[in-house]
Amino acid sequence: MRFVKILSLLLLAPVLFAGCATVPGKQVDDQIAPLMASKEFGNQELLNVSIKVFDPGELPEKADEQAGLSLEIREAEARFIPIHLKYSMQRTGYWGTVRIVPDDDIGSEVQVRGKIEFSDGESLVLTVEALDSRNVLWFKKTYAETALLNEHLGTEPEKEDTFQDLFNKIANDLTEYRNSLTPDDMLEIQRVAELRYGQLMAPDVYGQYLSSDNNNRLHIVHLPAENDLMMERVRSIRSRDNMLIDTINGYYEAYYLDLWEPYANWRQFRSEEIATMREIKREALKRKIIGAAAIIGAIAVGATIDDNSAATDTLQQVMVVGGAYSIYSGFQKSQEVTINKEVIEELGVSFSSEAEPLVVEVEGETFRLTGSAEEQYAEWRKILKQIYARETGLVSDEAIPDQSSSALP
Amino acid sequence: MVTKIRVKGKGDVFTRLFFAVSVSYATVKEARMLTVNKSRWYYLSAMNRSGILYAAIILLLLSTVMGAAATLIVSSEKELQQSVIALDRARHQAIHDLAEKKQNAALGETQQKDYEKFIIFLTVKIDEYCQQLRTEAGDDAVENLPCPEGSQAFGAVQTGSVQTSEEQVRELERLFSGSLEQFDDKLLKEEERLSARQPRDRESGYSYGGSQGQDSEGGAAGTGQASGQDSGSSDTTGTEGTAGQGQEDTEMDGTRSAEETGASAGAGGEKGAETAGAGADSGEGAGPAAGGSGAGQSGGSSSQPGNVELDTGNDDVVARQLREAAEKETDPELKKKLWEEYRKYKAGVQ
Repeated sequence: MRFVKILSLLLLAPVLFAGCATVPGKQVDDQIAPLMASKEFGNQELLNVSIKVFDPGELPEKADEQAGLSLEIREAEARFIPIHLKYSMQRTGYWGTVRIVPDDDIGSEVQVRGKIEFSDGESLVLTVEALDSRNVLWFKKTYAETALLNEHLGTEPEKEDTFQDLFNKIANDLTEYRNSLTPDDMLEIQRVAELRYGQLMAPDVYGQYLSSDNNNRLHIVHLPAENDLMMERVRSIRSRDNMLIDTINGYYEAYYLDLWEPYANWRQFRSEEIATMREIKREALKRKIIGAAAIIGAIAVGATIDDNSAATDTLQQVMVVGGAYSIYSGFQKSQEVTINKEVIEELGVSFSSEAEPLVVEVEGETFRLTGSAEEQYAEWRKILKQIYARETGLVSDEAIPDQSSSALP
Repeated sequence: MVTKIRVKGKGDVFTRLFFAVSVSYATVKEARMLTVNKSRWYYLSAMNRSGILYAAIILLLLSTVMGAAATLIVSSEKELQQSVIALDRARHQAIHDLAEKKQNAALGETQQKDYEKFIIFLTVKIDEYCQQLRTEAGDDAVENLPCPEGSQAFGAVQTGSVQTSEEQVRELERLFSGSLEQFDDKLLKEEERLSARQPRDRESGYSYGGSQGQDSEGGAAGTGQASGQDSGSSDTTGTEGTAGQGQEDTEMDGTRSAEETGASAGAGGEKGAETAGAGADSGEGAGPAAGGSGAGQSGGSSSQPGNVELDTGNDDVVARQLREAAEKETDPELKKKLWEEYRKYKAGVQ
């Protein structure tokens, strides 16, 4: 009998662990409340944040795990997630303007970058890093959350996402680091950001205003005079640049709202399908094992009891038949798994086809705007260079603007 | 034996061609070109008869091909020269007006900026044409034209004057601020375009092929739209813009501008008709549109492609000033050129 017990335990062990979802990274706590500012901050205490469109990462290698996922969905998520993070941060009152940028933003005060490590609708794993204009890395962390089924309900654009705990955790980590900064740190971050932008637009003028140490950390060498006209010009360009990014953000926000419904649905249905599939798998495995155990038990009964009575025979027959039925129904459940998997695939294809044109649209607008702005910035850089050359008497051929690329029509 | 020859100045294309061909096919002892009373004379000596015959045949063949091209080159060159003169006159007038109004303190800050923007535009355009002339026809083509020196393209604005560094910086400052303003205009248009963007239509439905998807579709769509409007008014930090608010603004602006455009386009059309009549010498294009009478009718429909020149109602600063300069110009040829510039500018803006 001891043999039968051990065998039963061995057979049931997989059932206990079957279907347990495993995602990389430490799960964030449940019900994380966002840190909210208790007072209104002045401009010097508000840092502007640029969140770069996330790296979509790669799909899981195993074909089984890839079911229903696609690169199109990842591309959509790589835009959707930073936009929701932006809203989550903006609400706290700890930040200046939070913007989504298509690429690294050289003049930003704080830059946030992220990568999607895993996302299947039910779980989300992100690696996020934040650094300031001085090239000081605030942190680089991996965040994971597996949503409960009820977390797919009651969601609301901009405010409450399925993975809101994860977004709140990221926003809180940023806030905690920000709160550890002194007012001098913040001022330095703002000044370095401005000088970096100055270097970008007028390298001849501000090239020597910053220095970097061995860790690539930037330090201020000079500060421009308060009435520095060239810095005024740079600021006027920077404000245009910000306005342009705001326009691009308008497209991102519209994209986010367009994507909200299909993305929320996809995540909810997919999670339900995955949960159902996991349950069916567990049930199927359980039945197969019980069936096998019953047959083995029947053999064991025959072996251990020498009594060849009719009752023993009947018990053996019942156990064998019952075991065989269990195994059969277990296989039937496996077929249900296949059906659910197909549904998940279909969900993925349907959502991909919905998300792809949205991504193409927002990317098209972004390229159009940044492309034409790049020409404009080049023109301004030339003019600033020429003004500097004229003001200092350092006239060079390079400083003469190219007529063909005039900003005026 | 071919003697080296050097043709100074532009010369006449045909004469120079004939001269070159003749020299190539003739035995020449002496070839000279003399200018007497502004006329060029090409002097060849010791040319044999067969040489002249070959030269004549080749010239005959070449002339048919080259004739049209040469005429075009000369014509295009003249056109550009006239454009430069017309624009320079408009610039002088604008500078004069600006100085006068400044003196009389009759200008607001915005008006002053408008004038400056217009002057910068004219300067850039003149520079552009001068550069084109230099490239296509050489330095001689810009002789006696108000073109800046090659190395001072943006620097020398006022004809015949050498600017100091301070003046050049001021000029560049104006160019810079004009360019910023133009960028602002573009951004404004982008904002309008964005505001006009409608939320994606979901009428086609979003179904996963199961009843679950269809059931929840309506609810989710409702949420999305409600939040879109919500966000328009609730955002305090301000990036800001939001779909809901933006749309409302656009609708209002759109209505207003449509009315304004319609009203002022009618006026513009009348002006166009008048101008066309006044500039009848030039035959065509003396008004904002070739047919001035049509301007009033189609002025309101600014969105129609091809009617750009008729829509004077939504002229920006530069377009308006160009139009006024064209209207004031008395020389029919220069008037025509200014209208051309006006049309080109409007097409560019569109």
